[in-house]
Amino acid sequence: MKRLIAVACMAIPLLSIAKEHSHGAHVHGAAEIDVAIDGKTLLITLESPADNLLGFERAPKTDAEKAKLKTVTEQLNKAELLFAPAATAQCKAAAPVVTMPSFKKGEHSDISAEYQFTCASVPSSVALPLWKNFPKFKNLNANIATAQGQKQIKLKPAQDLNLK
Amino acid sequence: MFKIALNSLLNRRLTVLLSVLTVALSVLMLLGVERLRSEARNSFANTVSGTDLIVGARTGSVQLLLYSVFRVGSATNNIGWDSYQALAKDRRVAWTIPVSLGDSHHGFAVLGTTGDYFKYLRYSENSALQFSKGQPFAKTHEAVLGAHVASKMGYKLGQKIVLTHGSGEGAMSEHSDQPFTVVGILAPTGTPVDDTVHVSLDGLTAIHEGWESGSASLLSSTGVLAADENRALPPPSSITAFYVGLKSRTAIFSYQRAVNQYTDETLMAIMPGVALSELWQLMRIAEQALAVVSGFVLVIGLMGMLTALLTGLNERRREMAILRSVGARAWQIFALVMGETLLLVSAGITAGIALLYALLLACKPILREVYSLNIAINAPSPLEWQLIAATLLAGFLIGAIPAWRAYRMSLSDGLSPH
Repeated sequence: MKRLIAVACMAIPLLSIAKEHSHGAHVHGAAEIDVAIDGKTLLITLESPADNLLGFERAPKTDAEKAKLKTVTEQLNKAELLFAPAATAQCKAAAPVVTMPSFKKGEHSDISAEYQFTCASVPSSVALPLWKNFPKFKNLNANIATAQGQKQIKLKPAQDLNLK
Repeated sequence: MFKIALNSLLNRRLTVLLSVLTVALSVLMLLGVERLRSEARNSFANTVSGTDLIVGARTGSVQLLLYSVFRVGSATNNIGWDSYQALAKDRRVAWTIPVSLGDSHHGFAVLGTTGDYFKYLRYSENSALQFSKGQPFAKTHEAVLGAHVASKMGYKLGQKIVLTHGSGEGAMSEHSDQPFTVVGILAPTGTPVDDTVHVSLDGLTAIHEGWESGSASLLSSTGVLAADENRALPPPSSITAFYVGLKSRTAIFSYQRAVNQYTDETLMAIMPGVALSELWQLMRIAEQALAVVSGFVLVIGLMGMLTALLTGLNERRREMAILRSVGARAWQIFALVMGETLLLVSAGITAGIALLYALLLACKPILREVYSLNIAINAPSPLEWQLIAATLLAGFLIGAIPAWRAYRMSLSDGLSPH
């Protein structure tokens, strides 16, 4: 195993660059979701470049852009438009906490949103209507923490989030 | 008919045996690679169970995981004691385990920590550490040994051991002025804990007093600083990393963000399971290459068998013709050759599996000793059953070729040679 690890170590410089992406880096088309289940609570947070949701990353200028910002904010406040836990788990969504960007000059803008569900049983999967509602998402990096342990999975459009 | 087939096989026993052996070896290779892969993963995953986050200096997440948990590589930076105290006080935190690495004892890592290590650390599926002998350290110069350290070095409770400065085995920089007494030996866990000498953070502080220059000062080598157990020691200025258990799993991500945005020091918090996923993504290419190679080995093995069967078939024209003449139908000839191939492949698979388990049994102690890799000897996993089934199916397809030839020949061939 030490040799195995030695090989892995050689690849670390590559990986440390990759890791920068998940914290504070900004890749259009990609986003990070964090999923945690503890008891009956399912918590999902979404961190995404504003571009994926809005199509622009500065203060809205035209009327169309202003309208878009308004619609997207409304959409993000409806958990069912992004995440749909398996029906058998009977999950109820609490009011989402959505943080829209402040659009400071010269900065990338990120949107973060937190969705909390209270479920009758632990959901085995979560469907992702967000692929359909926000087609600019091209891949999602899901960090998952459940009673079975932690893992990271990469999701492509139309895939569901499997929690088993 | 069955008896005739069996006798025919016995008649060709050398070729048959060699064919079975080729298949057996390729099955061994195929399953062995898969087994090692999954066992290495299990072994890693078992080590990090129960810890929600690991906090260290900002670096690659896999690097932090490897040095803080698997004692591979070294830290680029430490964490200040003040930062640790501040982050450990957070209301979301249930427990923390500070770890301080860097010294060694005969090649085994020395880990400085607190009593919470024995209380909260979990391995495998949520198992707590057990003491096979003794108890946790209470005084500055007491040590608790991992199971493997104790068995390899033959240490007993009450024995005095000397730690080495740094990770080398050089006798020049031993902390010989301040020996440690073994007060506890842990039960085996199959994780790096077995290969670790645990001492208190105070113990590490004590032995490094007067070592600021990197080697023993006059003061420390005269023993002035040595073993006064009641002397109050300052807290260490820094630690290597700390493990965090949270009150609720749902707080992982918000606490992780709090650590990553901590302003007094550049720190990072990693989820050990997620970092492991990243490590496996890195290793996937190597794993796939190995899987492809073993797949090819299997194909070559089956091809070898096919060659033997086809060559044999030419020599068996007479046999087939006689069988036909005594009333065997053409489809029976087909079934005969087919059955023979399947029998050979099955025998090969069985022998391959038997070889695998024999090898696993024989290599278990070596893998444990040399690679710290703990292999559980379990029944084949569903994936391995799939590989076995795939091999059988491949054997079936390959068997169809000589069977079809035999079928055709037995229709056209006469008793007399052409």
